[in-house]
Amino acid sequence: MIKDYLYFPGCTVKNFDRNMDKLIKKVCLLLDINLIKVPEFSCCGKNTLCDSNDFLSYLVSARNLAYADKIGFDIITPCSVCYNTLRKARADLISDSLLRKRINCHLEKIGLEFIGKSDVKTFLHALAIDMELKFETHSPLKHFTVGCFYGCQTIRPNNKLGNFNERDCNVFEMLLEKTGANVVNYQNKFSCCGYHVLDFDKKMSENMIDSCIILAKENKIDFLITPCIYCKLAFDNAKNNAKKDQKDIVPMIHLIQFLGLSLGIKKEDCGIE
Amino acid sequence: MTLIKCKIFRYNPQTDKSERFQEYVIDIKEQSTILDLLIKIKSELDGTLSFRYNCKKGMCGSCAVMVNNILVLSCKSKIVDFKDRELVIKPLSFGKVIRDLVIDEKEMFDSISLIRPYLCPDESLKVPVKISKEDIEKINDSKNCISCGICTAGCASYKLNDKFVGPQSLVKAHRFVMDPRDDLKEERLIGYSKTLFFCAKTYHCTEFCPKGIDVSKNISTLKESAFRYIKKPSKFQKLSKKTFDSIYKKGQITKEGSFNFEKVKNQKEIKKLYKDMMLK
Repeated sequence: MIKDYLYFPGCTVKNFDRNMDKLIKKVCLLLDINLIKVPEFSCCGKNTLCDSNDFLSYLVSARNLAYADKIGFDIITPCSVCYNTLRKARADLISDSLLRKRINCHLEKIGLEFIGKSDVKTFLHALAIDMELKFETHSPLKHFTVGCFYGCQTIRPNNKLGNFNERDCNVFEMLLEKTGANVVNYQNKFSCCGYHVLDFDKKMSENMIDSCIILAKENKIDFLITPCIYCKLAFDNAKNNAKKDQKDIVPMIHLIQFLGLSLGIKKEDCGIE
Repeated sequence: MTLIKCKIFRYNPQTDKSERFQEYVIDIKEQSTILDLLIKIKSELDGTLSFRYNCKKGMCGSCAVMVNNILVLSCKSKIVDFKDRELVIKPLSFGKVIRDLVIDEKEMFDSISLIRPYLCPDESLKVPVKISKEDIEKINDSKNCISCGICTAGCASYKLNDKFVGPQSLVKAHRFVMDPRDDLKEERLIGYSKTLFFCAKTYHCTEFCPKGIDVSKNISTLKESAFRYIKKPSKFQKLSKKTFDSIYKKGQITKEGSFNFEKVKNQKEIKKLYKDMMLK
């Protein structure tokens, strides 16, 4: 059964990682997910626009959500920062009628209205919840030991995002088990990759990720898998630094890359070394 | 009554060589709180177990602990809330262990005093001062902070960075900055402006706050206020401004100096939204 979603690539995938963009489209074709392009989608605000101006960040998110409402399908994104920003904004706009009224006054001037019908999902949500893990994999990945890394933006704050809860959550592990891989209970699965502070405090960011890498090595994990493009980038950055120091680190790949592999796409096309 | 198995962190720096976990098995109603469990263990199994508690009502903030990696007030958290068969109880992680589940919170309280956690009113204001409903709503949640230390214990940035004053202090700061009677807004914000930006937005604070305070949002509000008041932007604010400007000009964030990007359709709408708010 074909599932329709509005594709929200996010600036990172759209402008910084075209290969990932191509891979996402390939994988979705194989999973019977129809990605609808929306050229009006703008940057979500990167969760930092609210630090400059809170109301403006609601406006930018509401504009994106209003376009989604107009078309009538849920949004899907490979970036948990986009997911977090949009879904939090949607939750606030639905619960706060005064805020929604004020926002819609501005949106009216550009011919839009936020209703809140369209939801926002990551690929993890789409596959685990919407599709109830009902997808076929062609190449079981029995020889891989993997751990999951949710990423802060995917799961917190639970009162606005709903769905996954640190107290009681193994949905990601179940999804990875479907690929045939050996899934380890990675204890840092809810930790932070530190990518948000990379610009502000490089050392602190690197410390955050180092603790994740060390634990992954201890668990003899081949790959850490994440639904968030930023977590993947944080590890890529750490990998580049490790190359300079000639250290060996556990790679982190995006869920889409691992799914691509399990669906029979070549390793090189999945961006996996 | 159910048999509950738990492992509790034990350490007495005066007598123990190293930290350890001690196992206890006790018969108690599943609807009991974690605090009830600790008190029962202390009275029936092991009188040496140390932990803090006071009001038993979630108001004093004394009893915060970590249970199965979830930060809770032991008096408000029930055994039945945890679906795991075994409970692993640890102290909060940000202070030195005094004994078992009791930690030294001095560092956290010192950070709070750094932000001047008291009202500095405008002396010329005539008392009594009337505060509007809108103004009080702005501090509706931050004024409920009970200094339990849960947000500080969950914060990854606080552990790794000495320069970060911590979410607890920033919630208190928010309560005073947003109070319309406070006269030191600008001075406060200039003082916090560097430390604010070390918040890594991991949302542990909002997730675990027992009073339901949106700590992360309060910190974000302080950053926004700092933007408005501080005339000379810091390095951190300049970086935030980059996103702000990029979304105005292109509706997206692109590689530096790149022209090879797909434009956002109806980008003019975003410019209009900025202009409507008199931001450009």
